[in-house]
Amino acid sequence: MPFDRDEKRWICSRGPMVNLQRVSSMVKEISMDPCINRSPSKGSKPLKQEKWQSLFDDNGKLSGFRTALKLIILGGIEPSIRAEVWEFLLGCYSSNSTAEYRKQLRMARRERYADLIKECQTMDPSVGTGTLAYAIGSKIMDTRTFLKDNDLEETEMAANHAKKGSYSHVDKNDTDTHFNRTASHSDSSIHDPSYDSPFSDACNCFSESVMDVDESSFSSEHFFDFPPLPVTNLFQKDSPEEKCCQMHRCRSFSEHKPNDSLCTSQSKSNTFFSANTSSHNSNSQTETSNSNIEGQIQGQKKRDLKSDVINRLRTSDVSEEVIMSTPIPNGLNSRIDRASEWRWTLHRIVVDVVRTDVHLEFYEDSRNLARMSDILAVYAWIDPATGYCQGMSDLLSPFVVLYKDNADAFWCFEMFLRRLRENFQMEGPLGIFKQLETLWKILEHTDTEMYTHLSVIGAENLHFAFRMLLVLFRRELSFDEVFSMWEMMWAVDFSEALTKRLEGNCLEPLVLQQFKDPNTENEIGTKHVPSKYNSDEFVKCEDNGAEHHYSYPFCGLSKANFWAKHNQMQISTLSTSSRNIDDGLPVFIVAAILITNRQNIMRNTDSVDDIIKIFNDNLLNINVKRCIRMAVKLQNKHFSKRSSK
Amino acid sequence: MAKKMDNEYDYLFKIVLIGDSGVGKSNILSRFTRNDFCLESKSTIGVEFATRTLQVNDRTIKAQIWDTAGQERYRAITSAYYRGAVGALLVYDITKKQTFDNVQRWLGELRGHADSNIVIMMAGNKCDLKQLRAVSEEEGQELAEKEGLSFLETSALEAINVEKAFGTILGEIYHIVSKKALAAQETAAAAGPPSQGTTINVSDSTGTKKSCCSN
Repeated sequence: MPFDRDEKRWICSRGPMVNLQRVSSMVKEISMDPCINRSPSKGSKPLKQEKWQSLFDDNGKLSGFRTALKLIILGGIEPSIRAEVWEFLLGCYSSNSTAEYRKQLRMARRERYADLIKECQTMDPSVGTGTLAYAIGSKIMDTRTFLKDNDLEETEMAANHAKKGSYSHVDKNDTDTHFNRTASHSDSSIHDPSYDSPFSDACNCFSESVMDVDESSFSSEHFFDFPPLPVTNLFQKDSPEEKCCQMHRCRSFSEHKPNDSLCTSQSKSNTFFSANTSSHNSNSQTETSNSNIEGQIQGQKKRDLKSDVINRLRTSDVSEEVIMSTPIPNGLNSRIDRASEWRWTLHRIVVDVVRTDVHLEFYEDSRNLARMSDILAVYAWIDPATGYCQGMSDLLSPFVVLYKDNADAFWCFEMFLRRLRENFQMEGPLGIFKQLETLWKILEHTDTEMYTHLSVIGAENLHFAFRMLLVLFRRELSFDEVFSMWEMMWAVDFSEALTKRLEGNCLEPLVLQQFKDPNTENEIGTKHVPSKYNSDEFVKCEDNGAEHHYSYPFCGLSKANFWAKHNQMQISTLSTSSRNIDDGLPVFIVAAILITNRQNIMRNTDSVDDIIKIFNDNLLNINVKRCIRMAVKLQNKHFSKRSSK
Repeated sequence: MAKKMDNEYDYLFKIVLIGDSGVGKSNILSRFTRNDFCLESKSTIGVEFATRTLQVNDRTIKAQIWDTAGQERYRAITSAYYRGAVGALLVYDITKKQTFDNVQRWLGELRGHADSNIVIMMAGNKCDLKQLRAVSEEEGQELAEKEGLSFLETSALEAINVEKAFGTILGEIYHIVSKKALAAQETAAAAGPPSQGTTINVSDSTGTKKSCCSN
């Protein structure tokens, strides 16, 4: 990066800090430089491992986090410690937490993630197995079979796809041996096929199975590209093949003894699907089997509630969690709808996963694509209001690459999304539109020439910046540059106000509760608290024998103890008023990109089309550090202007 | 930048590429404008476009083709680009029934946001994947006739009918533009409601299509 050369010029707070042409008006205005670090010598170096480790106290509390933030803003993070530092930057862990606490929290999170994976497995057996639910990892998304009666054609097809460069052909029809062939994975806890833990959601599914579902869902034995889903009315046409398979599913259900489904996850899944999709004629049988199963599940649940209290940091029974955390306006009906919707979402996820960063060697191993798919699937399940939205896979991919453990990657991704959720709303990318409005104001106040030019060519809506803001420069920068951009961006935007806001944004299925004896401060265990918790208050737990303990939100952040006590110095750039999505650093980075490329843009754009082309085809020069520096200045200017009003 | 150079054209026609995500819109675009197919192409975020200049009846036509994100919740941004479009290529994936079933919804989008006289062609893409076919050519043909659309099965991968699809759209637009009065009469004569787009004589394209994709 041609960055080091102009580093010193910028570090000094006097005069034009950025060597740009025709930006004097802007530079004058923004030269009220916050000057994050006035020492040039520290400027461009990334945060190093030794330095990072020296910032922890004896208990493992990150007492020097503010120092770390300053260094990150200026130089990013050394790759060897990136994964660890990101967790603090994203707010997964408080700087005031001890090493022991973080370790326990991490374990609890991994357990919760494993539970969520198991839950998703009941709806699609491929989740958590290292294989993709639908595709085989090829860009050509069509390697599934639905011509079950024609093995010849299948063989032919496999050959055809091998020729076209698909990774491998996994025979999804062979569900019985599916788990035996489970790929070895980075986090073994998730992929244990033997389910000794709570039976989880399968119980709900059975009881739901008596419901009349006209349109079949898809079965694990038959892989239609687009499973007909009861929640949408997009499946009006019933092809002969589908009817045939529906009948087959009914048969396969009757062949499964429901009790057997408790033994292995695979048969459980099969039964779920069969039951879920069975039509009227199998209702009576299903009902009978349900009562047996439910009885067993109740017993299982009781045992698990006890073990919750006994085992330290044990997370709660997933099935209980989901029942409680999911709004159930129509009871089981909505639950079954949600599962159907999720399976449809899973398809969309796979469509995008197989075309996300596949140029990277890392993703030549299709198990890594499956990791990406799993995390997105789990996210879509716990956040049905957001589900999956295109662009999320771009945002997740760096975490999959960086973290060996899927749960750790998931939690970082989820913390990241807490900031961005508004960009991915069902009703449209509202967060992005807000940011574009802010961008327009920024340009109006800092670069009138650019502002006028964009007005003249009719680009006031600034839609050309949509992609940059949605996937945060993933399409414009290299993978390494994105690492730097993101960590600097997070470090700049890090504030108590933001972390408080993030804490409040926690999805209910992810709330882990930690019990503490108020006298001894010893952690007793964790459980899920279904209601929206209030981080400012202790929650008195009345159930499952834990009445005498008080619980804390077992979260990386909490208002009271966010900063280590001896680390509460004020730094102007770091303690800002409450920031919203529309005035976080990304929009200022886009402004900086516009300003640093103003010559190119002014000369070469005569119309909206031209500027869209320049942005989409990556014809802009983006220097990460330089953009961050300018964005920080723009942001400070913006805030000072706002507060002076 | 090359864009300044190709200003010599008689007509500039804006065409939108729409359809569910993953049906191959971006690759149809790259096949038509760059004769390229990329197995590693990424999902389209927002809108993109590419252009190609070609000759129709001794006239130079610059086709500006807008590629849009397929996911429904991005329609707030993508539908803005329907404005000013004179043609639309509505793509589904012949191996995914759902994408075909959603054609109606996409037609609704066009009716809601695009010019009522927009020329629409429906394309059943990925017709090279014969063994995985989930939508028969007849089904496609039937829907096209019902909705008054042109129809072709295409393969961006094997470069089947992509030229022809755009050629048909552009030819029809040119036809309308150069003979506005006549086009108006044709539209009226076709008996379809104007909101369903300009009606195209589907039989024009049947011959070639069969030869490519029914084998």
